Amino acid sequence: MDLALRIFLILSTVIYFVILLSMLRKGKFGLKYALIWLFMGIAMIVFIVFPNTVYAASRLIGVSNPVNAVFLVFALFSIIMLISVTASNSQLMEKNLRLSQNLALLEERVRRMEEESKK
Amino acid sequence: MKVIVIIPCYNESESILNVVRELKEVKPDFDYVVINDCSTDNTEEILVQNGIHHINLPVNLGIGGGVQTGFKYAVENGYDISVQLDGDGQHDPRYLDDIVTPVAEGRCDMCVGSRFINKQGFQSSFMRRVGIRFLSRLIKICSGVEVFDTTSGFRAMNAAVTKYFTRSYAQDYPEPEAIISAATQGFRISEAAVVMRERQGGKSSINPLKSAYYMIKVSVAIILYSFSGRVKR
Repeated sequence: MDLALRIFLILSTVIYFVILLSMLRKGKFGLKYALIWLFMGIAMIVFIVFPNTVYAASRLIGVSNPVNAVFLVFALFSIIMLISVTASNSQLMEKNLRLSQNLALLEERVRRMEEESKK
Repeated sequence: MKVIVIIPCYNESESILNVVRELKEVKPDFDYVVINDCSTDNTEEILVQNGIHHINLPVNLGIGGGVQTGFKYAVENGYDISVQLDGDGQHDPRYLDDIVTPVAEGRCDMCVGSRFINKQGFQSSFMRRVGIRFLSRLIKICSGVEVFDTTSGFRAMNAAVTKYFTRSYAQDYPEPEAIISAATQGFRISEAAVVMRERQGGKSSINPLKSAYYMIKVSVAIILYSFSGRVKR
């Protein structure tokens, strides 16, 4: 791999980890997603230090240019992440729905109690 | 000292009645609240029919969110000490004094009931013990706190720790993280020997796949805590 590219990638990965860890410490991430991003960072380090893994993998899946193989993997990974995030979003919406309804029913009970205690 | 026993409960209809009855028998002077984590079985029915003091969560939050609700209840109602007692019958209320007294006497801020000090009673499966021991060593390396039974939910804490946990408490698999989290806040943590039993009914929510995820997630969380500075108290 080109030395310039290697240096650029290593620098990018370092910045990536710095940002990730600082967000983690501030509690901006649930640990589940933090784990996924952390492992992706580690995978990037492996690819940079051992580019032969990337070359071998791209030959294996039949892609002639290793860079395209990397893009393909990232694209697939992004799709999986999107699916996971949309699923998570749907669960949140469902919880929100239930909370709202429960709150409304509770409000009615409290209001009824208040009216009855005034009598 | 006002003490509240927090009993998280998710689909433990087989054991919850016995757990509460035993508690009332052994420690009638302790208040308690069962946290019904949106159980899908007839837990709610059993709680209402037997006049058991409880909170119904409108949505399933898991053990972290459930117990944290108990902590919020404890703070709102001015309790000095909060205790966690599992709804599956593994924790024996006869050992409550062993974990409450060190906190009540101010010798520590949080006291964890440990199965592994005297190695009596239900010792859990081999794999779980290996995992627990690993987490214990990791916590020791990252914070200096020595706790043998890191996953034990049987623990007592004073009002300051309880209040801290209402702001910050891990949502899934909170027990080991809570130890190091409290340690980095400058709280004193100790352990007391207790004897636990096998769960009296129902099913455990942990399986091999979840266990692997648990170990990785908790280990990373513990390591991350070791990077945050320690608060002086």
